[in-house]
Amino acid sequence: MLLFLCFMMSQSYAQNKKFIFGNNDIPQSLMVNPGAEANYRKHIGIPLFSGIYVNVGSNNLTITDVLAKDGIDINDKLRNQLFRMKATDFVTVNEQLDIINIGYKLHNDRDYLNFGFYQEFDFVAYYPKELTILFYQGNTDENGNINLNNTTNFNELNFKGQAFGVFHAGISRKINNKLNVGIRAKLYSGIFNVQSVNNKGNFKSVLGENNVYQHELNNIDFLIQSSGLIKNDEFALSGKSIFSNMFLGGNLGLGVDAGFTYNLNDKLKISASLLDVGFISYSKDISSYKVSGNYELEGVGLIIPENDPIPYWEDLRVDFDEQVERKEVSKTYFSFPSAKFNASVHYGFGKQIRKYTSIIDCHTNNGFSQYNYQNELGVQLYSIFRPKLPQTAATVYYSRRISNFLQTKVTYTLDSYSFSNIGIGFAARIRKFSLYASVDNVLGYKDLYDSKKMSLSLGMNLIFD
Amino acid sequence: MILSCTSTVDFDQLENIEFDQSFTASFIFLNLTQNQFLNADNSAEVATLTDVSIIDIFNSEYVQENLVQADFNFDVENTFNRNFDVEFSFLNEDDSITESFTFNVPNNGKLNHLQRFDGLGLLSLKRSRKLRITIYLQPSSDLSILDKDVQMNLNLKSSTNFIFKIN
Repeated sequence: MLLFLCFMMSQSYAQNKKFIFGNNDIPQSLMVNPGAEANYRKHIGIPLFSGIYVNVGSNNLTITDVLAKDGIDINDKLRNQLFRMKATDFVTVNEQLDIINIGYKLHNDRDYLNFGFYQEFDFVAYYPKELTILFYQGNTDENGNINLNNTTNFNELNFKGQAFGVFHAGISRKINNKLNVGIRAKLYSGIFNVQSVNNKGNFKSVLGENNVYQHELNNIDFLIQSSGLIKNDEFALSGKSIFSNMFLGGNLGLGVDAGFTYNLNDKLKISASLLDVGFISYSKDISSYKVSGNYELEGVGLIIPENDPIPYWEDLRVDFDEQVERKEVSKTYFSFPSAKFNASVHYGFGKQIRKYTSIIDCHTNNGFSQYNYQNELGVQLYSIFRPKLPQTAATVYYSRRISNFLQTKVTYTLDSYSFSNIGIGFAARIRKFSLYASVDNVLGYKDLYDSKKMSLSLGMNLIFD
Repeated sequence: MILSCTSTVDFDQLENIEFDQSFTASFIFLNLTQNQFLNADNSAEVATLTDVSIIDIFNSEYVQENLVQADFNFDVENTFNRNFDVEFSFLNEDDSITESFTFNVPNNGKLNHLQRFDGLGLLSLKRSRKLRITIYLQPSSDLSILDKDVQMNLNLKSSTNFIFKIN
C-alpha cells in the first residue's frame, strides 16, 4: 500500500521510453518506433521478461507535500495543496508487460518482420479542483457568506483507466542506406475499462426571485462508462475474466503504429514515430451511468391554507427526477488508447566501434558494415495525448559504448514541472543474450516520498546476428 | 527497503485530518395576501394559518453524524397594517415538538431573524421529521377586519446554513 501511494505521488509521463527509443541494440526499440533499424537476423524475447515497463506518478504533488513530519498541522498542508494544485494536474500509472516478442529478417534482407503479444495497463486521472473545493469547504467563503455566481464545473471530472492485451505485427523496411520506415498493426483485446472523460455542466447559486437564493444545475451531461468490472451489480473482475478478455474475449479494437529513421549522414540521424492510433470497442459486461438535464431550485414554496398536508419535499424529489435524468446505459462504447508521439535527433561522434557480431555475412557484408560511434548525443521529444492536454517532455541524452558488449546512457529530461530528472540505463550483450535496464528520475530515489516520478524498464532477449 | 531510502514522513497524521463544510441553501418561502386571512364570504378573519410538511433533511447518517451547527435565516417583509407572530415547530415522528421558536413581524415593516442550533438544541433538532409553521394574525386595535380589496402581503424568504465537521 505504501509503495502504491509512493507510486501514485510521483511524477510521470507515461510510456516515455526514452532509453529504448532510438537504441537499435534493443529489439523493443521496434515497439516504440516500428521504423527503427534492426541490424540483426532475428530476436526472440525471453517470454514474460522481454519487456517490462512501469511508470507511475503525479505531476504536481508528492507525499512529502502533505505528510512530511515537519510540525505543521496536516490540515494546513492539505488545505494549501488543495488550493495550490490546478485542474490540469494529474496522477498516472502505466505498465506494460511483453509476453511474446519475436522478429526475423526476411530473405530480401530489407524487411524485418516482428510480432508478438503484450499486456498493458494505463490510468490517468485529473484533479477535479472545483468539485474538491466544494466538498472540502462547502459553498460559502471563510466568513460563511454564500459564493454567489461561482460555478463548479463538472468537466473537471476526468479519468480513464484500462487494461488490454495487444496482438501486434510490424514490419521495418530498409528503403535505402538512408531511410528506414516501418508500420505495425495492432489488435487490441480489452480486459477492462472505466472512464469518464467528457463531462459537461455546472452548479451555481444566484440570487433568487421568490426566495433568497436559487441553486442551479446547468446543462448537466455526465457519463461514466465501465466494461469488464461490474456484472449484475457485482464486482466481476476475476482471474478468469482477465484471462478470457485478454485473449480476444470480446472487447476488440484496432490500432496502428508508424515510424521512420533517416540517416542524414553517418553521424547524424533523425527518427520519429506515432503510436497507438486506434480504438477499442467495449461490449462485455457494460455498466454505465448517465446523468443529464437542468434544474433550478429556490426552496420549498409553501401553499397556505391547505387542508391536506402537501408532500413538499417528496414533490421536489419527483420534480428533480423528472428534470435531471439518471439512467443506466448498457450500450457498447469506444475507448481510445492514449496515442504517443516520439521524435529525436542523434549525433554520433568519437571512435568507431564495430558491433559485436558472431557471423559475418559475406553476401551482404553485414558484419563489416555494422559499427557505431562510441559516443552519441541526442535530443528527444515525447508527447502522449491525454483526455485534457497532451503531456510533453524533452530529453537530452548522452550515450557511451564502454565496450562492444556494454552501452550506457544518461538522460536529462525537462518538462513544465521538473528540472532535475536524470535517468540512467544500460544495455549489455553477452553472446546472444541481451539485457537492458533503465530507471528514470534517479535523484528521486533518494527520497521516494518527495519524488513525483518513478519509472523503470528492463528486458531480456536473445539476439541472433 | 522503501522506507530506508525515504525521508521522514508520518502517515499517522492522516488520522488528524478534519475540515468544516459550510453549505448555504434556500429553505422555505411563502407569500400570503389579505384574502388568505379572510373566511369564504370575507365576513370574518382567519387568525391562524398552519402548514405541516415532512422534512427529510435530518434523516440521513451523514447529517446525524457530522452536522455541528444549523442556522435558519429569515427575511420577512410585511405590508399588512397588522403584526404577525410566526411560529416554527419541529416535530418528531410522534408529532411531539423537538424544537420551536417564534418571531414577531411588525406591521408595515421588515424583519431579519437568525435562529441558530448547536449543542443540545441541535441534538434535539436532529430528531425532527416534520416542520409545522403557524402564522398568527394579531387583531387590529380598533377591532376592524381586513378589507379584501386592499392589497397586503406577508412575504417570507429563508435560507439555511449547515456546518458539518468531518474527521
